[in-house]
Formats: sequence, structure tokens, C-alpha cells
Amino acid sequence: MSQLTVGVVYILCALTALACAVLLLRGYHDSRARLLFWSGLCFIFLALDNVFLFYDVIVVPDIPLTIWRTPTALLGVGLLLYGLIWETK
Amino acid sequence: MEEFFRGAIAMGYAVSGVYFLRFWKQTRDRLFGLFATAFLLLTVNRLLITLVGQASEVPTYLYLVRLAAFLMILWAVVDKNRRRN
Amino acid sequence: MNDIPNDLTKFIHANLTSVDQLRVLLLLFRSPAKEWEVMEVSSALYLQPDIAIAALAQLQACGLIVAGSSSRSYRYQPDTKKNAEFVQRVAQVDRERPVSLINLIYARPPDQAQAFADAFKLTKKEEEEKQ
Repeated sequence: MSQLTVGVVYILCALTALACAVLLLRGYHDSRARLLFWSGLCFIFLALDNVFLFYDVIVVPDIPLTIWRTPTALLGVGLLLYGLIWETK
Repeated sequence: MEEFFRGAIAMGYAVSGVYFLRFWKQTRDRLFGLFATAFLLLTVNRLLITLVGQASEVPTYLYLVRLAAFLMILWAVVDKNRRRN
Repeated sequence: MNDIPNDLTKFIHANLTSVDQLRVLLLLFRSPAKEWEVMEVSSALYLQPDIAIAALAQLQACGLIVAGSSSRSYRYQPDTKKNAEFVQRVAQVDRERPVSLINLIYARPPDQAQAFADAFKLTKKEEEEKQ
């Protein structure tokens, strides 16, 4: 699998996550359902995670960006879990 | 320490997936089934990364798993809007 | 709106999802001995039949009304004394502060999972126009 394909995959993932974030945050604005706020934030961090991954693998393959990627993914999923646990019955 | 955080992230995806499964059961909305599958795939992705190790040479299938996860999400969005029309 | 007690507010949010449902409930409540056919409810309240059917089904699922002797008829009969009390209080609030009651019904906390799924609909305006 060429670098180009891999890069495209990561960008696609980032864009999908970003689209979800936008839709969820818009939905939060309309409905005030708090789960959407937390999950919207989560998807922003998921998008960032994929952007970092793109940079890590394609742009600066010699430099591991794990120190950026791990906290980003952790924060994202943490926010989602917080929303799922507290905002649902 | 790294391993700890990676494990935590994987667990986070897995639990989120289970929540989506619950929503699917409650609402019968296909979107939640697709999101549950997506997060399950993200969990598998994390698991595979750990098995492969810190190697910078990441096998092909890892990209495919991640791609599959996000394609599930895309499918959920498309599906939600297609049936409307 | 703030002077409607918490327990009544919870009852209203749990059982009444729309003003139409409120009107159907109160219609049946005011003539408790009568068995109402769906079309009677529909014409008495100027509601479209499918809306009346849905409201009646939801009220039945909440245990506030029961099915009558014929297949599409319903009668007011709450399943518990507590529910009967709540409905009486709702009727009272409807007499004294109808606008507050309506506002309260629409101020219900959103269903989180439903809102999540709905967020992914790209064209919401279209959805509203259809209704």
C-alpha cells in the first residue's frame, strides 16, 4: 500500500470525524441534548488524532508523534464516555 | 506507562461501542448498530497496534481496519439521510 | 411555570409528549364512563385520525387509559391511584394555568439517544415541512 493511499485514508478518517463533530455540535445547538456536546468534542479529538497520525506516518515518519497522539485519543474517548455515562438514563 | 494509556483508550472505545449497542437495542435505529460496529473496529485497531508493537512499519491491514471503522460511520450518515427521501 | 411541583412535572414529562396527547387524555378524563372510538376522538378534537391513534396508543402504553370492548375504542382508566391523582392535578393546572402547562410539555428534557441519531439528518427543514 503506497504512502499516498495511506495518507488519503487518514485524511478521509479525519474528515469523517470532523463531519460528525460538526453535525453533533449543530444538533446540540438545536436540541440542547448534552450527550451531543460531549460526543461532538470527542469527534473533534478523533479528527485531530487522525491528523496527527497522518503527520506521524507520512510527513515526519522519523519522529514518533505518540506523545501527541495518545493524549488526544485518550481525551476524545474520555469525553465521549463521560457524556455516555452521565447524560443517558 | 504508554501501554497503560493505550489500553485505556482501547477500553474506552469498547465501552462506547457497548453503549451504542444498547442504544441500538432501545431505538432499533440502524445508525447505532453502525456506530457500535465502528467503535468495535476501533477497539480491534488498537489491539492490533499493540500486538504489532512500536514498529514504524505498520502492516497494511491496520489501515484497513481504521478505514472500515470510519466507513461504517459514513455509511450511518448516508443511510440516515437516504431513507428520508 | 416554576410553581408546578416537581413530581407533577416529572409525571407530565414521562407521560405527555405533546399537547395533542394532553387534549386526548383530558377528553377521556372528563367522560370516564364513556368508551371513545378513535374517530370520535378525532372529530371531537379536530385531530387527524393517525395522530389520534398514536396519542391513544401512547396513553394506553403509559397505563392511563385502557382499551374498550371494541377493537378501536378506549376508556379512561388509570392503572394506579397515584396516576389518577396526577391526572386530576393535570386537569386542574389545565384549567388554572393552561399556557404554563403547554410550555412545560414542550420544555421536556430531550431524549439523548434520539437527539444523537437525529443530529445526523442533514436536512432537517425538509423533515419539518413534511409534518
